[in-house]
Amino acid sequence: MFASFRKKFSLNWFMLIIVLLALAPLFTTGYYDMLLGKAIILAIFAISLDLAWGYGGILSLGHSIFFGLGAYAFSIAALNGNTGAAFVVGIVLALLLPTLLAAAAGWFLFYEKLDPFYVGVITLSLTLIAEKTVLLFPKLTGGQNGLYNIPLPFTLSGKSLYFVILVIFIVVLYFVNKLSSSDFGKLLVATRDNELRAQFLGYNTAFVHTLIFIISGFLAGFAGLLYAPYVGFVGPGLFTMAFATQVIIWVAIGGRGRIIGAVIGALIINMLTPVFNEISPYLWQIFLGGTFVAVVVFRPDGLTSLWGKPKDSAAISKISITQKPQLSSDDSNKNSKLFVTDLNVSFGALSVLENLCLTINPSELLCIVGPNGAGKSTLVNAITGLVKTSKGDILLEGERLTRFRPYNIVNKGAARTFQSANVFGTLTVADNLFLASNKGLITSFWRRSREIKLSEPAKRLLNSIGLSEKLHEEAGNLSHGEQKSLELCMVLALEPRVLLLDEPTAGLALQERKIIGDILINLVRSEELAMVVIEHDIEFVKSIADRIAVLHNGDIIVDGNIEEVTSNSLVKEIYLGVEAV
Amino acid sequence: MSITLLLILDIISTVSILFIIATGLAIIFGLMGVVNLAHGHFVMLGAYTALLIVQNNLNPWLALIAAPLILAVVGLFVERFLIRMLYGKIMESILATWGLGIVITQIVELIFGKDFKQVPIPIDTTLLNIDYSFYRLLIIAFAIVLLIVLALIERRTNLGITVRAVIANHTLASTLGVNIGRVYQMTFIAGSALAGLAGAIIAPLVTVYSNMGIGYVVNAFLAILVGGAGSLFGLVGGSTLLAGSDSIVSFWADKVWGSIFLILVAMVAMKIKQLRD
Amino acid sequence: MTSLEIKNLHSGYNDTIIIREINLAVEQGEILCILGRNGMGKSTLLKTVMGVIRAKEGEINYRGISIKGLQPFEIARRGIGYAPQEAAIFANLTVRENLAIGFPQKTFTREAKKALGYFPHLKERLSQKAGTLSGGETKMLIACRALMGNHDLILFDEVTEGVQPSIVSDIQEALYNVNKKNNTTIIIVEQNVTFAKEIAQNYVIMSQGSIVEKGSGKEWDMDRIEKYIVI
Repeated sequence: MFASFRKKFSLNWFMLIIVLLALAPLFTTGYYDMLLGKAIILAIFAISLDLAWGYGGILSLGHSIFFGLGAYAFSIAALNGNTGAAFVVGIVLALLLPTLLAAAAGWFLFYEKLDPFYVGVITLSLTLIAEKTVLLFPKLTGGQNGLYNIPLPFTLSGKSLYFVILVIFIVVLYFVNKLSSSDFGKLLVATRDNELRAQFLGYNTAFVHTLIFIISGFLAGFAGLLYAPYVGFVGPGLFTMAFATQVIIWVAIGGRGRIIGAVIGALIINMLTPVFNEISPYLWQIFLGGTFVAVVVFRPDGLTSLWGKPKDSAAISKISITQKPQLSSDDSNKNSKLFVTDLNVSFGALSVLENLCLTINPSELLCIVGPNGAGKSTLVNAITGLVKTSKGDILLEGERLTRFRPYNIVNKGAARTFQSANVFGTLTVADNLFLASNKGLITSFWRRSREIKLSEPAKRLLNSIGLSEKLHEEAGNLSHGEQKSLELCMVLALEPRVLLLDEPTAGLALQERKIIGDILINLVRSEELAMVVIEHDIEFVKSIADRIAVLHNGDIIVDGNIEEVTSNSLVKEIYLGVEAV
Repeated sequence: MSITLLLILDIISTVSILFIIATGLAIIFGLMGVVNLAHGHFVMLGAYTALLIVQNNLNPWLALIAAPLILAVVGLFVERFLIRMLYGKIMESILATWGLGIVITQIVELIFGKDFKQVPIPIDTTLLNIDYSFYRLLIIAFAIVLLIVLALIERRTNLGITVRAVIANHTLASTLGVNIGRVYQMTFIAGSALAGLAGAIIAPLVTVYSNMGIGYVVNAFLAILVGGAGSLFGLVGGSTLLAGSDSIVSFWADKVWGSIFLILVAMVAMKIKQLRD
Repeated sequence: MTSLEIKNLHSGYNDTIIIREINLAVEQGEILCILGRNGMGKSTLLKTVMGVIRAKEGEINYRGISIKGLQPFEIARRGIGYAPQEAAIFANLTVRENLAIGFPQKTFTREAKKALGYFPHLKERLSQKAGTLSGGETKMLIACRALMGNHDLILFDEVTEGVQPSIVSDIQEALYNVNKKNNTTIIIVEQNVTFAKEIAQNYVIMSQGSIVEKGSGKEWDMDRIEKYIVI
């Protein structure tokens, strides 16, 4: 109910803007018609930045390069031919070149974790290159003077041309709204807010970033393509940093991470600018810059965030259970699931794991205990690819895991949870589960799933802890215990063959520990899963473990069943400490 | 004088200028986790200080004292009212200092206009028989002195120990009695003063205008990316690689190709770094 | 005189409460040991006292004055020394530089001479990078640093963890002497009960974020202690 109300609310803003834009020409003439149309085109440009920055988390300080490239590509082709074929070539180039440039830049920019500093500096320097390159080829680009009299492919002008632009704008709005509320939109937000978790659900986040950057570059190029013939003039100013700065200001002030924010910011500022420029362009820019700084510091989500969060929508309403694939052969079960030999991990001169060997069998729950700093978390991090190993082998059912990226390792069947609950706090429980159940595949750009396919144990866990009643709650609002349980559901939805849990009960109440413990035991018994649990709570360990390994100073010193470990004098010594001599 | 020697001197002086600009930036970024995109604007303000001094017929060398002092005061205010809210937040600091840069640019344009200005070289002689601008040689000497002084401070003084400790682990340093807030404040002021000094130094060699800082700040950041923010000598290496390739290409082809090549070298160096670990 | 007094303290990270309803009073000159398994909130308690983690509720008074809400450096300058547990050295700094942080040159020379007297072995490593020290030497460095600076109260977090017996005895002697000579109050968080028993007069046991047992004098109830500590 509430959600659908909010959706209408948000849609109404778009309707309102479109109606206003459609009525505006009634009150304007000539020059101001042109300004309105220009503002709309720049709003499309702002949307393109918002897709990359607001949704993708990629702060591009040089987005004008894509816009300028689109505008120049069309202009050069159209001026050199002014025939039908030239227009087609111009349009194709205006869309293709920015897209290719975005793809190439993406390859350089995105790798493992997004680094806003690196992205910012490189995109900024690209703009500087572009600005200079334009001046290098004056014959083609018109140099400092730019290109004039860029023809339109059809003969329209004034108000009718304005309405063509408005219709294009409506189509663009439709497409980007579809994209931002698609499954891919969810994946984007998830990757933006918690890249690590996305990687450990099997997503290649660098690729996700590259995809949205390509889409964004394409749309920016499209805006440039509209701009050149509409305004009839392109100049090197389109490539400048100043222009790239402007679009960031529109999106930031309007509100990043929502299409309506970019649209409102771009439209209002671009309509006000000519008015205030007549008073004093300097004061107006100082005012804009000051507002921008204030928004960044005090209201990072922009002014439209004052309306509250835009809540969609067609939420997931059904959870179904996937059929468990039949195991291909029996002998895979007889072998060890996970086989670690001679593992070494060191941070600088500090050696954390030394020649560690460990075997984990199918349907076995192994608990790893040991004092702080023994290397327990490092062991899990090494197996799952979060830290680099310097020596040794890790085999999952015979397949080597070392030197693979975390998302590869997840896709090979080793999933993990983290010490403190690690979920997508800004997404609903259902969306969290959806992204997990999608198992690292790139989601649809268009469709919005209404159904999640969960594995049987994940579904069972979901019901038994009562999260199935809270599907539409934001995960960040859940209690710590519920978040940890949700994370466990998510990794189960990956249908892993080995599950590594780093302190699954840390910070949980006694009752919650009991539930989690029962579920873990059940999982191992019924799913032929191999499970590694790091735990401090010894009572909990005793109640769930098939086998206990005691880790001390980077190596396993005792490995056996509960009696063997608890009766071992070495273990007692480690825990009580040695006497001073 | 041979072309090669000329080229070498050009490379060294270009590297020196980049190094002088990048140090202030690197100290702020390495210590505080703040990306100060307005650093280039501080350089520009330093250059305008030199311009004002010349216009008022004061001793041009005075700029080397006045510019860092004025920028230290600017830094004090900027830290107090803006940067303090941005410690450790990279994206926010990029945006906020970027906005600050716009405001500074517009204020400068409002006061001085948009046109390009020239600052005369304070000492227009050549030394001995070396047919090369003495002023550029002075810049090289200054960069070397700056490097030595900074390295000595870093290695030999309590201040250096404190700074390195804060970079490595500010919480731990705090439990040992180090006032982190004060260290950050002083760092930002020192970084700003260095930017001002850099501006005054380069003013006679370039055209002075409101947007002159951007190119420098981008190159300085690229040098930090390539060389790493934590190490002085890494920064020297980064500056040398980038400014070196820039001046070589500029020498054979043209300045625009030089700056394009500089950025490409930086991107390739970063990609190699990524792929190696 | 009461050195440290904690009343109804709650603390933790973000939304998670890790320690609850802690009440504790430590007299000047006392050596108190906090025992308990991993993850029971012992380190969180010390970090909260030191201002590294902000207390959510309750009071922390040092020599009768509240230190709750102060920054770590202010607390340190009031005379509380702290030897944290994990990664508590600056690996890229030399041993000498590690010891020098926060001291003016003169004070450093005096204090280092005093504290290094307890750790002759460390003296030979002064110009070595701290990152190249062995585990035991690292712990010595952390202990040595906490002993410098004339503190009235020193907090040691697992200072004997992973340390060979001969070094444990060095550390034990250092703590004992500082306590006797300067009447310094010492709080140690320990898993090494044997060591703790040697040096501390009183103990408390923490479990699930709360203090569950207290004991004083040399009468330590080893059965109860083992129940809370050993597997």
